[in-house]
Amino acid sequence: MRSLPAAVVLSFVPVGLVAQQDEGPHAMRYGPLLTSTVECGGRSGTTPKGLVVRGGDLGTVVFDTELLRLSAAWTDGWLRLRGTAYDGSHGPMPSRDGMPLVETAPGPGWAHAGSFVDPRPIPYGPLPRDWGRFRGVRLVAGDGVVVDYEVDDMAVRESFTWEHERRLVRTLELGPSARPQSMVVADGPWTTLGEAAVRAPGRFAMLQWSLPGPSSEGDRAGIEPTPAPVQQVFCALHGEAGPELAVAAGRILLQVPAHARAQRVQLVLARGDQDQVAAQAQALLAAREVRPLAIEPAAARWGAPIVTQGVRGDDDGPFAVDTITLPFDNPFHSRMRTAAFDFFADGRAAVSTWNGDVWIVAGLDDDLGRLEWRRFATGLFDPLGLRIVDDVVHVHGRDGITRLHDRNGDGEADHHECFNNDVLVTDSFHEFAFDLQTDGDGNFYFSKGAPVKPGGRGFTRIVPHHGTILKLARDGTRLETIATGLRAPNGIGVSAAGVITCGDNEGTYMPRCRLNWIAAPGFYGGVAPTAHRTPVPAQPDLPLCWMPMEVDNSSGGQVWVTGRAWADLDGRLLHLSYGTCSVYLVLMEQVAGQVQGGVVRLPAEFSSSCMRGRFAPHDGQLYVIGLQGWQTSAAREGGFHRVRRTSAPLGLPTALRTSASGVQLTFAEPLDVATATDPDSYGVEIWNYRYSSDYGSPEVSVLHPEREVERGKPNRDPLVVTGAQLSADRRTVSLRIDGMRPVHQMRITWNVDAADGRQQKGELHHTIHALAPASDAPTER
Amino acid sequence: MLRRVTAMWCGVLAASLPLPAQAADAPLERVRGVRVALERHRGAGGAAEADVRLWPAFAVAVERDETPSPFLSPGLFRATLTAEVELALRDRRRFRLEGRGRAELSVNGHKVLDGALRPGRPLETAAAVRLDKGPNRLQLVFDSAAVGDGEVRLSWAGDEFGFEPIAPESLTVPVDAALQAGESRRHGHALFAARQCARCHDPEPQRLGESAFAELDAAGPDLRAIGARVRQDWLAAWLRDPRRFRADASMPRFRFERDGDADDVAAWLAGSGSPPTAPEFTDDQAAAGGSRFRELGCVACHEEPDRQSMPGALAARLPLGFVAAKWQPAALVAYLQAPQRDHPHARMPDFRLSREDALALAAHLLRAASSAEPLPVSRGDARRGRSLVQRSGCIDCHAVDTPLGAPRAPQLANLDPARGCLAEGGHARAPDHGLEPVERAALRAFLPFAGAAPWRRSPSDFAARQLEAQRCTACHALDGTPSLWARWATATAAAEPLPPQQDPVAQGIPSLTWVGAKLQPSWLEGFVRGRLPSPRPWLTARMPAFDLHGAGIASGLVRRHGHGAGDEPPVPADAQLALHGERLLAMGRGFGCVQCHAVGEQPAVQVFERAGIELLTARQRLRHEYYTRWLRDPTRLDAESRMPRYADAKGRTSLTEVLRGDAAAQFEAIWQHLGSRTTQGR
Repeated sequence: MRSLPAAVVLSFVPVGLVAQQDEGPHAMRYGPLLTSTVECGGRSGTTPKGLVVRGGDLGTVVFDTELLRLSAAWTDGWLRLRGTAYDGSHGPMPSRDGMPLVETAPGPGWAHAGSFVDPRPIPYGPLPRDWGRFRGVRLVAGDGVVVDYEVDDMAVRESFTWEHERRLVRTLELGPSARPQSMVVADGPWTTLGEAAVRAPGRFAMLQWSLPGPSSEGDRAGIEPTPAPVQQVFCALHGEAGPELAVAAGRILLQVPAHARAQRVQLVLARGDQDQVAAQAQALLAAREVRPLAIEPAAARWGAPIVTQGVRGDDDGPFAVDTITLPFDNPFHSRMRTAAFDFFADGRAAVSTWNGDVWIVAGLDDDLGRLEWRRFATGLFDPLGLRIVDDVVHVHGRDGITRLHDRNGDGEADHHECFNNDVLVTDSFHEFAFDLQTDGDGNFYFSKGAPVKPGGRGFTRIVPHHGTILKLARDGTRLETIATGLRAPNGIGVSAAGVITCGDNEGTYMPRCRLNWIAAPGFYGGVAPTAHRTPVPAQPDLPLCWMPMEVDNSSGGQVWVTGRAWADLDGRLLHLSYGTCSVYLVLMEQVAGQVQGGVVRLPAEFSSSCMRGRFAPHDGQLYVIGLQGWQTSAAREGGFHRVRRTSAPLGLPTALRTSASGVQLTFAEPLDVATATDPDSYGVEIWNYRYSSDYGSPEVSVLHPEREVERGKPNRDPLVVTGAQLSADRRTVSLRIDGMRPVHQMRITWNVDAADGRQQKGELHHTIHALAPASDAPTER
Repeated sequence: MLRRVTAMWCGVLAASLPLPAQAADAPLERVRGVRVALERHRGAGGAAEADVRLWPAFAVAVERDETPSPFLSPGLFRATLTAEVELALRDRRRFRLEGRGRAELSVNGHKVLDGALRPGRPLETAAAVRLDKGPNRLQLVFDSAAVGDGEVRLSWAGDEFGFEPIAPESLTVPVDAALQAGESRRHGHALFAARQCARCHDPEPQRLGESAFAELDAAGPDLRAIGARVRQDWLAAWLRDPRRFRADASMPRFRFERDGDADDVAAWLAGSGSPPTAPEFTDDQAAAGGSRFRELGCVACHEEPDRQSMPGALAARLPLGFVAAKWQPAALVAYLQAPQRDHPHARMPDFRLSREDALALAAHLLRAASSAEPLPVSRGDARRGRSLVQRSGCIDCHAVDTPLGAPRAPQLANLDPARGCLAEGGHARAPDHGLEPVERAALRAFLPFAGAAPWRRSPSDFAARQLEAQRCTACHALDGTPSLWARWATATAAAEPLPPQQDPVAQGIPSLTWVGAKLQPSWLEGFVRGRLPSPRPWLTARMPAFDLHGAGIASGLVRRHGHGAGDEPPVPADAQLALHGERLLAMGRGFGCVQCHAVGEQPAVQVFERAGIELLTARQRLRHEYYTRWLRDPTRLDAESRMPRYADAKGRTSLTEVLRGDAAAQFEAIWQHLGSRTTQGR
């Protein structure tokens, strides 16, 4: 074997970045695997959906679940945890923290019909199904991880183990295949390899290249160049006869002939930095028994449940907010940034956290006296959506929808089944995977953030799922786009009739937070770069309503009232605000086919943001969860609350009707005639927003559009309330208002007394797209 | 008159009025602000002194040796402040008065507070006062403390918010003759200072150099080497008609004896120096200069030479089409770097530009203005020009290399308001200041006070004049009126996408509305004078240094909100509270302030959209009461603030395990903690 000329640039540079293992994001115990976008560096680049399998302190493997390749393996370390969910930084992703062992270039890990050419139109998303498919990952006995996938007609199971001599052992169980298959084992540096060789026919292969040395400097200085150091990757193949190693085009391949029965092979990989061929060949080829992969589910690893005590809120208002105390202090240093939840049939709840956990909490009874928290799953990819179907937890993370199974019934998930991973994800920090809901037919819905640039303005590279709401068929096979042109739809709602709602956040192309009513597929929310259609519409579809900053500066999801405990609001829509930690009752009307309306805040205070809400089947109450991860008024990192409807009067309007003559507000309880019929008890002001590519919008005067005011100051025009009439049941007030017209924002304030003498003071923010003809007042009093 | 002053303080007229642009000559019925009637208390036989003015707030502050108005001699005074505040809904409010002196507050004709004010002992209504939907009339009568000093500040609180001053943009007042007369006098005062009237009209027995805030020290540029800086053709054209180049020029048009006089003077001045070698500008520099011109906010005061003029308020920006015809290139670079070097009272502020930026801006301006129509070639008799300079009074305002000439203008005390510069239709020999009728009237109204007012210390009036003279509102919003720069950005963004660094709103250039209530006076003065680094280092825009008048401007901004000259007394340190504060700052178990705010050397964890100010700096610059108000509900001060609101309407936060969730105690703990980490903790 000859040495190579020092011509090959090698990017395998020691990282030298030793993270503080006991501080910040590294303090958390993530378990044996973590799913993330990973900046592996070198030939493997960035893996958008990487399954990071940690081999204790020996080494780390990143498996690309889209391309079915081992992206990279490195020794002596794990990950440098960077990114929004970890150290809060906007831009970077978790990256390699160790010495490279083996890398493969972005592209299919297995050939299809002999070709390794990437068939995807853009370098994102999974391979076509007939090429290959990721099936999931199993946690098996002995801290092991087994990856399941399919290639062509061949089922593959694979595990990764590390040996102390910095050797990685890949064990593959290959199901029968009618065709020959080929897998990339390792790629060398960027340019053509200096040398590659196969020895012990088909059983040992190596790649060898030179690191760039100081030769160029030496040449310039007239000094004899020093020899460049030599790098080598070795691979030995063990197991049944048939499969062979090959070297072609600068890569080591595993060639598998067609085989009628399953085969089991083992690849042993090592790295050398001198001419170690003989020694490595001897070591790696030393006889070893290739045992079947252990697939017995792992035993529970997170111990006994953690017990907390809930706190019941005050019952003196229409809503009592109970706190379902989170296990903030847990031995795993798991950050309880609670992101989504759902209920099992028995009343327990599964709760996902931003850093990839799912916890199960039991004890959601009336007094919340003993809440038992079990860490059910770990290592999921920023799961901001969770839905339980048939008592199986489905989580929506940046890598798609994953079903969590507890095969051995020990209370912890041991099988992460890939339900669907067709969703496209890039390395944008803002590409959040929001929410997970189902419709009456069992189809799934979720939303995707647009890739906002660090700093908040503009967008990075757009791919087709950015800024959309997606629908996944109930069997997980077909993914389709329901809505586009969204920016940060952090949460959706699905009505029994299949109407989809979502919020969106002020930003580029988004004048203000808006609540969208998506009655039919094809909705367009206004963000031109995520329109995903040609031509880009000049104007967005209309929202149900706009909301000023003080109402909602960062929207959460929606939930339809279905709880029996909330009977007086049954069937109504609630909108949640992440930014202002609020729950709003949505008042709606339909005029000329257009759904429009506004929001009234429920009198309820929360310790963290309001991102997801669900009504619990077991008690009919609203449960709300949220986290503190980006700008919000939330005081705590996470919060899980129950909002109990008490017997106290609601004290809010529950219906809205606008017309050319004014506004009708229907209150939940009868009002005092004297104050309710006094026009001075009501205030009305209007303003507009401006749709543009700018970040947000100033308030624009409706009556004096040319009037400019300081940004952040109101630019509102009052309308005169000329009369107020009360219906016979004293619940509906008809306000006669001069100057009614379509407006982006109308704010109605009131200060009236209820019939029982209590003061009712409040405000409604709503939008009028179309005006009904002047309405008849209700029966006058 | 009034319109001008409303533009200065109030900007946007009350919503019930036509907009200024729509009805420039329409009579004004209501304007934004508070009517302040001032009376000087005199003993028996003393001459009555009274003044009425428009003011943005229910606040008065006068220190010893100051006067609440330059039209009142120092001493005991009474101020009666009236305005209407409009409520969208019938509601209840509590009221509070703080300060020193004696005060009485009436709401809709009913007295609700009355008593002596002492520091730390506010007067507060025992029960909430009912206010009507629509306008509510507030009247505050304030009598100064023993030596004619004192302070009063009115604040109110409602169910949804704690005590705070009433926002200037929600106060209106009807215009009456006394108010109009008071504002006209003020307009005259501003013109008197800006046009440097006292330079020609000797103010004996007062001394020119002893005016309050050295305001009358202002003079024109040093002409002793002007030939090295500007071109002869431009000098001649400028002398013929300064207002051709800038509408608000301080320099009058002189009525020369013959047409060639301007050429002769220009010839003599041009010989006073030779231009340095011009730098060779590159395309890259010119392109960079075009961007910097916008990023630094030059567009707020100047038109872009290669763009068309813009309508409305933006039309008042100074055009720069003449730049190439005026400047020697090297001198322009030097001027941009140090505008006050040859003209200490130049209105162009000192942006402390790097040479790189100055070269880029000069390259951009000279190229962009190169296509302007050339000025007529000027040739003149320099010897004759020298003589004209001696005879024409140039030396009253300018340093020149020639023996003094004899004074030509009458003394201030002997001025006839119907003659000379103020004569209707102009005077044959008096310099032409291009005064509009309203300006002449204002100067005439001011003239009876001209011998005294400029020597009386009234920081609030001085700052009001300087906010306009220094064009502070070109870059900063004030009392709800957007800055000119923001208006430019809105107008420009409608036609072309504007990068955030060219958009003052996107960058978050702070408003001036509350600045005097927000910042410690010493910090504010240091910052305005350019002696402190910016607390917002991420801005591409920069605050220029206003060293000459910074102290006066700062004290006026502080008085505007009813505060005296001194910094707020320090809050006693509480080490126990400070310990809680450290936790409250942290991510996870606290509010997570460190997410957006750096603390000392420790950078912010996760800045999104807009960074927060470094907190130890914040601790040093902020008033405690403003800090508390801001934390209680940031959106009441800035509806678009990214700062979250942590306290609910009942004054509780959800961090219930710290100080029982008491928001006020928790905010105080953070204040204490930050104070314990600053070297000059207040």
